[in-house]
Amino acid sequence: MNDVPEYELLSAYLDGELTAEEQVQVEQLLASDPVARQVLSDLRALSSTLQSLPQQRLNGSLSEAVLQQAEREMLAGPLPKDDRPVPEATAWWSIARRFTRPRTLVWLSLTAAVAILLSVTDPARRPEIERKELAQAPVKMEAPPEPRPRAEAPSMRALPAERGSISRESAPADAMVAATPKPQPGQALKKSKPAEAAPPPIAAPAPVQLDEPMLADKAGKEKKDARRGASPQAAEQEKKGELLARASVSSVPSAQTPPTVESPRMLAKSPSGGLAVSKAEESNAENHEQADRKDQVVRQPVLQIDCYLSVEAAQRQDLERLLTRQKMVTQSRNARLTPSNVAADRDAENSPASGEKVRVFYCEATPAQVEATLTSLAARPGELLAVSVSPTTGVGGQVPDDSSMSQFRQAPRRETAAKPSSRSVGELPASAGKTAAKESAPSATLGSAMALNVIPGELASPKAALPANKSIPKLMADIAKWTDRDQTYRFVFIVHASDAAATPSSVEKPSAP
Amino acid sequence: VNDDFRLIDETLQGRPAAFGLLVEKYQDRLYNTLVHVTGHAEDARDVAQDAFVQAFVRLETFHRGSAFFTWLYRIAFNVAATRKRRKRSSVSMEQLREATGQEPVDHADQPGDQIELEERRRQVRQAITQLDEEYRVVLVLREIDGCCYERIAEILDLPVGTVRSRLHRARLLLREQLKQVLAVEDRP
Repeated sequence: MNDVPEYELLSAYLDGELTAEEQVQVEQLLASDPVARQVLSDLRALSSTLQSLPQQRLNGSLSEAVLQQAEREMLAGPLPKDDRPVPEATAWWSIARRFTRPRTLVWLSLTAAVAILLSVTDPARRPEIERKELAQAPVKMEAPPEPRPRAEAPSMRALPAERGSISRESAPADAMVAATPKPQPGQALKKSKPAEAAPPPIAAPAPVQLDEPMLADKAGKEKKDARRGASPQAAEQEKKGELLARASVSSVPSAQTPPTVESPRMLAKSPSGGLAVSKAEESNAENHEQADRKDQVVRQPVLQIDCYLSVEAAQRQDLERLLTRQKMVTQSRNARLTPSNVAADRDAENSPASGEKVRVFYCEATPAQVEATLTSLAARPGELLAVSVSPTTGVGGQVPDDSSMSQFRQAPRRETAAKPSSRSVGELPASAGKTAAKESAPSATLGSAMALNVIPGELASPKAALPANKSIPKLMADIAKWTDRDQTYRFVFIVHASDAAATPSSVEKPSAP
Repeated sequence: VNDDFRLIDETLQGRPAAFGLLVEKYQDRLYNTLVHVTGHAEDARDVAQDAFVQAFVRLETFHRGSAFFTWLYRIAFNVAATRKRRKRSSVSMEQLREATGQEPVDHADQPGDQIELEERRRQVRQAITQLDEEYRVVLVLREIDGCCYERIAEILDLPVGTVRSRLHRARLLLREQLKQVLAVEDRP
């Protein structure tokens, strides 16, 4: 192969990368050695061949997608891409560093300023309790008004080149406002209130149960224990949430900057928003809480969400990570669709294949959290292929058997202040399509299936599933028929790992981003 | 380079659109290199995007001891290496075709020379992807991207001497694999 040390100079000679001395040396070699001449000729031909390969170009500019993703990462940190656990110390340090970066602080400060400005100008100041309530539904802060493909996330709409005059600092503020789902007059102002409500205890060393407002009471403690017992990962995430909150407190350099000024994602991660809650408010909230508990703990119906993920995304447990981050998961397990639960589907030919392995997550969350989670997942191209929703129990006035809820945590969950439901299940519109048709179908089978600890697969209807980029608005519209956006419900997420062959035939492939 | 530094300053002063200009300036060049390094068009796109994102996020840490482009490439190769470790999937012929953006060619409509040229290009790309990574990256940076040895050394954090020997070795290996292709191209 002419791998002779002297010949190594031939490559550099060809590239004009020799010193004067080496140049002379090579020229002498070429003059005396025909093999060297042949090697040089071959190398020249090879080089010419390689350089004649056509240039590959990207279709379209990456800049918008880059800026959008960068914003997310700067404010919240990227979704973990592998399964290696992040050492706690590292996580804490990286978070602290992230939030002490000058650019991030600028963003956060301006976000705070906008939030304060908005709240000051809010004509209809809400009672303090509502501030806390909002702080406890933090995921709304990061839920975009409607799902968008990766390159069109709302928060960076102002950022492409043609809008270059819009400053970087304004982006998060835009994001906060723009990310408010279903914006209504005054709603953005309400969302900003936790920031306004921030008390001064910036230097408070301990984030007293920041992400567990219920810890003070026994039920809350049970809940926390149950959650920790349910999943070590959840406990880990919970701990991280505290660290996050600490990071955000300690990294705020100025007393003028309220410690609640966190990225939307930060709020979502430490759902207390409790940094902003005074003792009086807490006590007030506890009264409401008790009243709520008498009223209802977690509302009906239970909704089943079938998520068809790419095999890779399923293996990476992307959905699990998102759900865990939002502290939605009460229980999770692997399961296999059994003939009994598959055959129970009247539309058996469209039901998931018997024997299909799925991952099941039992969650308690608001529809807003669900939307934010799915939207976040759908923002990663090619991961969430399709998604569908169907009610499982409690629809049409059906009250689920308590035992069927064994997968959910038993401790009562803190509810937001009860407010009259704007709709009831009896008022479901007839135009809800196939999924809605299930509303009227008694789901007793499913109830028993859950009671028997069988996964609730029979109502999964892949035919109803749409590509993720199209179906999230529809899915949220369906969910809205059965729920109030800000109330807490039980959701059963079923994760199907789908490749092209396994994805239901009726499920279109999502279009490339 | 000064233009790049100006755009970086503007970005750090709070104008992300300036970074968008940097993205547009370098995206095709980076992508073209990454297609040959990763052997897959989709991977190349993802790596390029992730590299730009990381560059944006870490922009304060860029001390301007080198060109922005060098720093960006360094990030991109790290991203590519990380992804590869995760993925470890072999590159199939189909993927190669996808990597190079070549649609299946309808030979009936093409003159014979064109068919041969496409086939030779395909063989060359395949041969590149079969090189060990340490050789492939150096070769691509030199032959596809046109970097000088010093720049390659900077990007890969290697001594220039190592770059020189790896490049020579890469060329010899590739020459062995492409003997037939080169023989055809040598024909008058």
